Amino acid sequence: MFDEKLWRNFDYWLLFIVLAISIYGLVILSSATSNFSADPWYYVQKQAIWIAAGLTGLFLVISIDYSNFSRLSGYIYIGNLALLTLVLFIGRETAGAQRWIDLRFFDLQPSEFAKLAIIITLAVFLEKREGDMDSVKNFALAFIHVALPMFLIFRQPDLGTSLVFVAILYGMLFLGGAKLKHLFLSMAAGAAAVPLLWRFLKPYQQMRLVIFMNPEQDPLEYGYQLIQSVIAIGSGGIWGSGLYEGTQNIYDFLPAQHTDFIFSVLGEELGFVGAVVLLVLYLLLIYRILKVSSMAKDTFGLLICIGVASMLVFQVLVNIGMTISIMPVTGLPLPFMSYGGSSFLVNMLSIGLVLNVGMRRDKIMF
Amino acid sequence: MSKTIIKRLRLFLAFTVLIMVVLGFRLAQLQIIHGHEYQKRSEENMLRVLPITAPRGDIYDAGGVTLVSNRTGFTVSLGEIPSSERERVIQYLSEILELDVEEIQREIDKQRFRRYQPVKLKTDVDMVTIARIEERRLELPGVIIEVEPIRSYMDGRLAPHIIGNMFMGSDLPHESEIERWASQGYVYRLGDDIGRFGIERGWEPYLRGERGELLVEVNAWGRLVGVRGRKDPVPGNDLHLTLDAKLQMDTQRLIEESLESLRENFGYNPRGASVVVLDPNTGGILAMASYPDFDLITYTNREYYNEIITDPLKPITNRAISGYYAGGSTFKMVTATAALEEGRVTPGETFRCTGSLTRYGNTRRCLGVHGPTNLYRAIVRSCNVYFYEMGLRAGIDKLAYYSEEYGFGQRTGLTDVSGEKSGTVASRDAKLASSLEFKTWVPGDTMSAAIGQGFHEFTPLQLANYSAIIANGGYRYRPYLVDKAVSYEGEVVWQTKPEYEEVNISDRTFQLLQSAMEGVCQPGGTAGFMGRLPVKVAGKTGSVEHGIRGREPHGAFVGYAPAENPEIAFAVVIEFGGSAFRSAAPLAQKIVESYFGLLEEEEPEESEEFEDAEGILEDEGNGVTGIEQTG
Repeated sequence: MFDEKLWRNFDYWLLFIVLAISIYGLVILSSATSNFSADPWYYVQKQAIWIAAGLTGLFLVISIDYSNFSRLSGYIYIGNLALLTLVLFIGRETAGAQRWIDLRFFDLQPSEFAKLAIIITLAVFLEKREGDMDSVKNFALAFIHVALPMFLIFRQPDLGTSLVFVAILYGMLFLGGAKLKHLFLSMAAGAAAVPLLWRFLKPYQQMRLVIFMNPEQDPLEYGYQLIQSVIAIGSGGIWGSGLYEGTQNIYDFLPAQHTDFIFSVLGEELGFVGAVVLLVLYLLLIYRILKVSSMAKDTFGLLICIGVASMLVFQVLVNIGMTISIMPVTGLPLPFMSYGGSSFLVNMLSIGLVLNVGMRRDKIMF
Repeated sequence: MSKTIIKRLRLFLAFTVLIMVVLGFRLAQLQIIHGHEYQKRSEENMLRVLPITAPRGDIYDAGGVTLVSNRTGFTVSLGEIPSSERERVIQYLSEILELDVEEIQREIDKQRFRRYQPVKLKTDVDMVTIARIEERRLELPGVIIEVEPIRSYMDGRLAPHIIGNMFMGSDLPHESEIERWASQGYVYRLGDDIGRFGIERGWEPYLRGERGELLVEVNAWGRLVGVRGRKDPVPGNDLHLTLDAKLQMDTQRLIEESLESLRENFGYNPRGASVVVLDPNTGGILAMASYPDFDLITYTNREYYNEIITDPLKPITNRAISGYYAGGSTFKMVTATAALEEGRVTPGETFRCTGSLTRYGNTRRCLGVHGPTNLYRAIVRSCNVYFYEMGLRAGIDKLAYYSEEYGFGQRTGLTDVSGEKSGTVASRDAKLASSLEFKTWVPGDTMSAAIGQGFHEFTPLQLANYSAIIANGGYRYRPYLVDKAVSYEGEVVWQTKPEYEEVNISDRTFQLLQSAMEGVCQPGGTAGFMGRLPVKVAGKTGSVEHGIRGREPHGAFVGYAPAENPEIAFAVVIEFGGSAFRSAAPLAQKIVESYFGLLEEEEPEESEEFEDAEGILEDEGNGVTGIEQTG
């Protein structure tokens, strides 16, 4: 199916790192969910299936030359907007947010797939305007390109995921030739607009955004998660309390310990050492992605890699930052670690895109 | 690839590295620098301390008979109930335990932040109820039956004023009591058992023991998930009293019989009585009774409690230490002491009793015409005229002085139970302090004081101790009830050493008083019938005027036995009991007989409860005590 030359350019390291993080996550998940149900392996098994599914998806992605996505860009963009609109109408509502479309065998979360869609379409957008990105008009158009889907996600409401789009946008603009001056000015403008946008946030969103600065001011409600998370991580010390031995975890003091707060379980049970191992793995992952991007045969490929890297870095920063109380509570999962189908699948597919770019870096000679 | 892109890729990587480093630093701050603090907070999060009640010390009489101990009580508590079963379980429990549903709900609500701790619904639940719960074990998830030590009495009616009772978990101790102990360094929590009165209160720090602790792990929802450690409770110290249970029991029974006999044979209407028997060589109290009394077991019953605290006869008052009586003729040894010690009379001097005496315009009557009377004869025949004269000769100030030497007008120093009163000695000051309009002391007052009437207010304990001073020849002991406290490991942690003060009265005077008091209990004396006893008794009768029309005087008797080598000294007072000859003296004789084993033992009554076995089962909670009561 593949040319031998393709395999020669396959970045085994990247795949290895992703699998290492996923398995690391699986181990932590087994502890986080050990007392969730009568069958302690239930969640582990489900996540293992997701890993398998993710790998399958990954290989499907690399089997198609990524150049094809460039041609389908328009359809992808429109389809994405359609799905995001659809979810606002027929989405299943959980905890006040409509994010999922029930597909019977699994819940599709269009906002997750929207990330991929935006990475691809924005890459096409920027490639087309390569060399012209120093114009204000193109810069503004790129903003609008991302703002449309982002707004729909914001309406679900899902503030965290919509912010991921900002990260993707800036990462790709940065490498897509935008002027630094434009980037900084727009950031400053965005910061200035925060007080204005603040009013569009629901009170609970506002609270979640500021509580990290002083969780003790509301220790029983909004601050509770953060306090418990910090206690869990702090109590881990250098070596941690040992796998399955974290009392913050197994006695349920940690909320959402298998999804948003899985890093807290890691910090409690495997300590500073275990946490740093994960940080290093993430760093290596980003390094490999950037390496692939630097060798991409075209700007489209390079930008895809940058989009994926931006997305992952931002999520790692925001999720871990949240668990150690230096970032607001936004409900972003930790890539490859948190339990959950859609986000894991999308992350695997995004790695697939990067591998795809890497495999096809040499121009094929006829 | 352009240089800009390579530069920006490097910047991108550098930015990523920076993020990881920031995260790493923050982790180091939390985990390495403050790790210990968070470890502590994590422990605090999940560790809770559950108290384990320490068994209270037992209380024994002088001969080692168990008066108070602990029995196993069953407490019904509520743990976690599955929410679907909740309503049904609470409804059913309310029926079985006879509690309102709202009441149960209130108890649960009180503890909603301590769900790891079972909610105590009812303590000391009887076996039948426990059996009903056990039968339905499967239908009552979350219901816990715990075993807790509960105070158990050999006889709830035995010396209730002395033994005392407890504030139990459910009738929350007054917070003032908790504060009182806290100020002395003893920590109690609301709901703890605390001694309420009597020995249980006075010796609380010895009896209480040390609470044990169960260190448990709870989860975020407050549910008990494991046990981390256990510190066993240290049982309280056992107390060994000076009390002689048999003598005490006899005394209480004899008082009742005596009052009954006064009612039946003489138509008197005695109100109450008090007896104190103590060891004149130590001050140890062998028996102390106050009638009417009450039952410690039913004391916790609200209706019964209301009944006894509103009873005009005041059964909860310990008359022995807080009842006031003027003493009557039992006081005459004090007057004799004053006249002799001050050299106003010689033992041989006779004074003619013509049936009355007129001094300073006061004419006072005697109970008879005793003719020429010396000190010995005056005591034996209880001649008032002689003592009017002696009182006047000694003067009120000397009378007051010797009264105080004998311990009147001050507490004897019994601290094992609270509530002892100091009483009053007739004196110029006492009259000044009185509510009378005319406050100047007059000779007539001295004449009254000399025969134990008027301003005097003595407690039966003071009277008994006075008798003991004469018996032992001048040692005023501090009366006590607790001989020693022994730890559960058998170590004596407290041993009472008799304390005494020597009184300022000569041996010669004591010899004269002793022989006269012996004469009282020999043929020809006012309690001559005691001469029949194989044990030689010394004593003095007294009738106390109280100024209430139509009621007999209080009968009083003080004495000791055996006369030649006293083992017991005692005081008996029967309110409205009439002359001591009929009331207090015969009762005193019975008590002496009891102590020396001279009472004809009555046939023990058959217990009616045994006839009806079902009756016991149905009334288990009281059944046990019912059997004990008849013993």
